[in-house]
Amino acid sequence: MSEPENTPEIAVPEEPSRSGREGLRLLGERVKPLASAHERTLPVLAPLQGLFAGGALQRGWVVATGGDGATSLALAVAAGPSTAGSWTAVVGDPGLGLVAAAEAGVALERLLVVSVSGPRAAAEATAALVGSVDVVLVGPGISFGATDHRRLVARLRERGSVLIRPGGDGSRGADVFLQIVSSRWCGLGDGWGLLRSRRVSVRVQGRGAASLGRSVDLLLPGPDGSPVLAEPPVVDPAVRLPPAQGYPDAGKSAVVA
Amino acid sequence: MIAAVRTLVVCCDHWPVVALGHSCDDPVAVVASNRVVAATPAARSHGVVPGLRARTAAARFTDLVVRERNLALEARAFEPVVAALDDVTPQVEVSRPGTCAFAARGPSRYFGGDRILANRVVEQMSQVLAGRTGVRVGVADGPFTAAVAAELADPVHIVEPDGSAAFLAPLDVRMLGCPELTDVLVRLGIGTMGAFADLPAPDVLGRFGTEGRHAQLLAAGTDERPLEIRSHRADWSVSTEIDPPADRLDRVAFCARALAEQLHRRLDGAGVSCVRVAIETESADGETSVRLWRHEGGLSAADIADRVRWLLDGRTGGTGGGIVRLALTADEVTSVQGRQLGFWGGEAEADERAVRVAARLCSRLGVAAVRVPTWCGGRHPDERISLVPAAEVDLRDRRLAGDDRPWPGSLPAPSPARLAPVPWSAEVCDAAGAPVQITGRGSLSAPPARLVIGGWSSRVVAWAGPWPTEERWWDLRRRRARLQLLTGDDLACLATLEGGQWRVTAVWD
Repeated sequence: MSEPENTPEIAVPEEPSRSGREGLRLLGERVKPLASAHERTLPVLAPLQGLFAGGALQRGWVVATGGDGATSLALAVAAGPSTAGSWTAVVGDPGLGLVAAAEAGVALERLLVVSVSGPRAAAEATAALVGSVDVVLVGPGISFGATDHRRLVARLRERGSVLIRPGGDGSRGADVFLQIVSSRWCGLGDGWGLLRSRRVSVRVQGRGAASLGRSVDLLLPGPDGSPVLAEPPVVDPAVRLPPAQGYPDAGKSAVVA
Repeated sequence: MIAAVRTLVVCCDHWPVVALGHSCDDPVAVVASNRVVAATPAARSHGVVPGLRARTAAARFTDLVVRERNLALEARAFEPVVAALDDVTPQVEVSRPGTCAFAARGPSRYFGGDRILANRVVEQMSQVLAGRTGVRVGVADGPFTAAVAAELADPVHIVEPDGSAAFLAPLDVRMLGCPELTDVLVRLGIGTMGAFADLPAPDVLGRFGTEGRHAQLLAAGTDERPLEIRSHRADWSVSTEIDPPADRLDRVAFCARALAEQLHRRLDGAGVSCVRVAIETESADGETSVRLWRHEGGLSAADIADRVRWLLDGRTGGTGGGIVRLALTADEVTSVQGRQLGFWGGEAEADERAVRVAARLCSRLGVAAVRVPTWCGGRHPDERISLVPAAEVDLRDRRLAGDDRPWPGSLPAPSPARLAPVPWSAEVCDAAGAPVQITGRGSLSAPPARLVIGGWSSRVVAWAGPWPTEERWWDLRRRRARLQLLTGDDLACLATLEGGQWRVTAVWD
């Protein structure tokens, strides 16, 4: 959003000694983008803020998710802007669980579901949606050609929407790739219980500030379907220390001690 | 508080019927949205009253002529009637087709009293109407009391100055015209306007809100307008010169539309909405005419453009060499009651953009391709939401009513993030490799140990269920049993047994 006409003529201060710092400030004013990057962001849910530099989604980004739970993670990313009042569109994903989307926090009253017949139609529909809705989620079955992808990314940057690609080969050309590296369900037993929540560890890969390799532990989905920040595993000595019966060595060492 | 304006209200009887070209002696009913809105005395004598369903009305009297309401036609037909008042007063406000009002103080002094003025109005109107329908005139302090007086008039009813409260007190509270409020009042035993007016104002405000308080003020005959109404301001007026003079209606209407949008932008900036608009036209002959239109709900740009069209359409004497100037003035405004919009035009603008893109995609991909979700009841994750074409719903400021009915047997949150559009056929085997079955009593033949989908197979590490459901026993009996399975490679899925076949219907991805 910088103004290219302004940048070439840089105001060089007349007296460098008096106003070295002042000159720098003026220079800074001149080359400052009209809207700085953090103004062009979309909010994310609080538990996910640790995943993004600045705690928000940059407009114009392509965000891809991968691993076990890629869909839930994509929905959790989309939920932030959606709860804040943005519209969301889903393109070419007939199997997306909309109840899960609602539980994650996506506002169904501001959701368009677009079904498409093939990748060409998907690219066309996505291009039309970019700029009109803030978040576009493209199903894992859709793979854009290189030209379509380039065109879409250019349009995203210009219009300031965010494209989310859950699973599939979406990580190609993404600005941020959220990879679920480990996942473990809890709540379900051997003939009893219910799936209650899943503890996942999400690693961030990406360009620029996103490339710091952050990692965040989440309950995704949490007990009510929305993502929750996972507490670090509690190490409770009372639980851990008494040796289990199945460890023959443990009993022996206790005797020795 | 603004002092009530002495007002004269003129009502033409059964205008929706008369405008359609029927005589009041015929049994005619006019319907809108399948409800009777107007009926002639001949129809009423057979029990056809406003508010009735069209079918019920037709059943009560089989020779009844039922016509659909045509608001544009009513407005057009009313224009020459209103024009008859032009030599009584320069500013006539059309409340709705069939009813108009004007400030009576000046004309009354000029003609020598309210009664003489009212009689003169009746005379003038009757000439134009030529016996098509009757006219009733009411004069009182403020338009509401005057309208009530006109309703009860035969053909003239004059409420003396400061006599509004006494005049209204014995009348039925339902004449206030807001059924939601008055139904409650009647059930509370408050049958007359006087009884309603006597209630303590803070209690009315607390129970019925500002609308209730406004209605109470009307019933008390004290104040006619919400206090937010501001007086006329010059910058709420926009005008355009049309050169060369527009002799065709559509050209003027086109200008009116653009002008109305310009006016609206200005009003939006001030956070007000227009409840009465003055439409001023000047013809090439130098003839100027002003017409006022009122709409309590606020007039949108399209509404104003419509009214300009109706106004010109109804002119009988042609446009006098074409229209050279068109001016719109927001004559009375009220502060916008709706919610505050956010930065960048906020949600309303986001809604507008979504509506536009949905329409564009509909035309490109077909109506069935662009859909929006709505909640509907069900036990399975794929049954709880249905998708309806976006073209069939209003996306602006959409509100979804969640389905909070209990649906016993449905699985609690978290719901699966991925549903199989076409469920995958699967095999659920026990430790011995035999298919797991469910007995008639709803218990498993053996604990599941292995899940096989096509060529893929995995060990079951945790499971719960089975939860049998029996649905639609009255129609297409559907018996199903569900299992939550967690396999060794961390796939959590919902397996459903129906008709002896296991299927994986959803995956917690």
